[in-house]
Amino acid sequence: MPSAIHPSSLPGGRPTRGWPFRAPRGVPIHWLMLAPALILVAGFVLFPAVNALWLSLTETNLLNTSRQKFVGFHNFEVAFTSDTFWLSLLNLLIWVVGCVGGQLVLGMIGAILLNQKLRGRAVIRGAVLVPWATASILVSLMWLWMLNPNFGIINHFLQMVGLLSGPKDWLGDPATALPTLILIDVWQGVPFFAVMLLAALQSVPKELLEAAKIDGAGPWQSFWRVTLRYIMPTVLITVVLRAVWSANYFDLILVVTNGGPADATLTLPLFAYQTAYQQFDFGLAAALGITQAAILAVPVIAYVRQVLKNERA
Amino acid sequence: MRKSDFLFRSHFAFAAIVGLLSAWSSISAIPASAARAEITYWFWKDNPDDNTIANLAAKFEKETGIHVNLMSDVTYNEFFSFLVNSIAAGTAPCAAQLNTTYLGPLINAGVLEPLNDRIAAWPGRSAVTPSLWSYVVGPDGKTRYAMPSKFLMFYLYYRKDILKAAGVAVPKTQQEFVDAAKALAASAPGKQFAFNLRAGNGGWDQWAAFLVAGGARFIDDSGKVVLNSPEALKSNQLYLSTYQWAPPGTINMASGGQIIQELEAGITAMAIHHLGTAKALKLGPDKIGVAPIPSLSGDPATSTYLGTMNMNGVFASCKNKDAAFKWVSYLTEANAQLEIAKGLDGYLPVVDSVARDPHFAGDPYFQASLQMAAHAVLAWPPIPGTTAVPVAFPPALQAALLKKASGDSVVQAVAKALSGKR
Repeated sequence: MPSAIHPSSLPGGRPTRGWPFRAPRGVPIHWLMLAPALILVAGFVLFPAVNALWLSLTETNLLNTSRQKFVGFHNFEVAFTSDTFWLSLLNLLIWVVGCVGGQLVLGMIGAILLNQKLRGRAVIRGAVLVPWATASILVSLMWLWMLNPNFGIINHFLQMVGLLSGPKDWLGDPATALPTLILIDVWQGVPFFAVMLLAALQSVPKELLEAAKIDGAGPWQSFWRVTLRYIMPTVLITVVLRAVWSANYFDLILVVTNGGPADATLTLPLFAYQTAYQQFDFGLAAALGITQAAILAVPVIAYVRQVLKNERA
Repeated sequence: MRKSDFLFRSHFAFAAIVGLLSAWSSISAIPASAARAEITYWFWKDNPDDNTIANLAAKFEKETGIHVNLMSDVTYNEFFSFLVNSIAAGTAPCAAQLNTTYLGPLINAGVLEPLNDRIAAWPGRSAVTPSLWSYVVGPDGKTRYAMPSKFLMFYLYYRKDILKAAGVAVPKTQQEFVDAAKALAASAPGKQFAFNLRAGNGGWDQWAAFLVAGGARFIDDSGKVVLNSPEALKSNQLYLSTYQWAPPGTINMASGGQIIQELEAGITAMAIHHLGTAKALKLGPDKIGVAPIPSLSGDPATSTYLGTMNMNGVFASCKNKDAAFKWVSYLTEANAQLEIAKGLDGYLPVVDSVARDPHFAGDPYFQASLQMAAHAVLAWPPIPGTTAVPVAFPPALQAALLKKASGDSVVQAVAKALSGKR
């Protein structure tokens, strides 16, 4: 372990009595220093993860924890042979791709617009964060009312402008329920992308863009070949983070449709939640959770490997 | 002494005095609280403004010296999972309000205290309507696991003015109900709807109420699930057939309050719900009438109706079961039942004398509930599978209404859930 810098070696420094603390030889002082953080990580991250893994291999009912029994991979077998599992996985894929894709495209447009010099830019930048800052339960209830087929303002407006001839149940139609939920999440998540990408855009050296312009590049070519390449690390980390968050996010779906109609909006985390807290089958719910964690680990590992590869290059 | 020194020292002295006084009061309070019996009681409120239980707890403490720590922060939708988590964590309350759908798994897990001996010694037991004890009995038919308390019957609300304008009589049989729905929707196509099936969360009660009135049974005398009977399948088909005249939003409808709002707004003309909603009605009995749920025969004397109850149980883990039983039995006594029935939530009393109180004589919704309760009454059975019904029912009904599955699949899905099969 590298020893601490002695103050006498610093300009103007002088040794103080009893400093630095020197541990007796052989005492792993660095581990002692790391211990508090390691204990916290072990307690709040490792233990729940290992416990979840153990739960997934058992039949566990929260009301009868004394009757917990080891069943091996039976829960995984039940999950993988269940039609509901595959449906929830497909819905999850559509949900993540739709939400992240929509937020990325609109977030990028928003970031470019916010990067322009316009009057009141600071106020606008603050105001666009409102959807992101609103609690998910409030967002859910607000949109539930706005989309109400009988009383909702959206149907009322669409009928007023002639786009609808009668009340449309956006959340009650299996064809439109999941896309509607995706639109709500895109509305809520665009500010996050916009703010992250705006920060990245502002770090693009102006000289590069000027040089591209001098070389005859148009606005689209400047963006595609210069700006986007420069901000790609930020885009990647934002996409990965948002994909993981979107995959785990089910509050909106739970409140607005509860997975309906007829499981059209049932995603894997919601399925796990229902299995745990409505059927009280914690073993199966843990198996579903472990499965989702394994799936999400793939893009995360791919991202980390890419970052390490770039650093070594 | 400089002014700043004086200010600092005086503030420090003041803070020290306040701190010492606080410490003294907490030290001197310890012996008092240790001597007072305390229990915890959890319940949910249908109406957050209802303070009836808090008032009763204060009276109870004056009379008995037992302090009841109340917790009512969790809504009904989350209450059971909150309770289950606390049981698993070893922090269950002493007593709690329970629903008929909770009993099965709690009895099966052995977390509820059997109360037969305590009830036998309780002076107020004979005042309780005898038939209501069946709601608190376990699968063995003998052991009582809770005290009867808030009781409800499901019935049919209808708009008198809309039915009159459409020339439709109040339906008595289930076929008449379907015919009425068709006629009501035809009276103003696209604007007038008949009945909201509530295919979302919570809709299983009104569906079951219709099926039970149609002759369905949940379990037989041996405890075997018999929901999948010809009567249940026929009644289910009739119920589903009204979807074509249901308002938009039925498929995901999860709010009982919203169904009543639709009735009051005139969007629908009929709704199945219970007395709890009556106190929230803005339109009076001159506009909104009640009738028994249309049944197989149309005659209440030969029909069975679905009832439900929010009873009070004592947990086996409670360290002061005597005090807990004293509290839950207090809530079942006539005085408390009168307060609860008069409260904002609105429930039927489980004590006969309270049901005959003049206060309720002019309440048509109350009287209609009592009349139905006088006939045969059934409730969701106290078996573990009952708690699986809320998961199985909505997707099954939604799939059937969307023609992705047969109508019979709804009954089969609920029967499978009741049987405890995955």
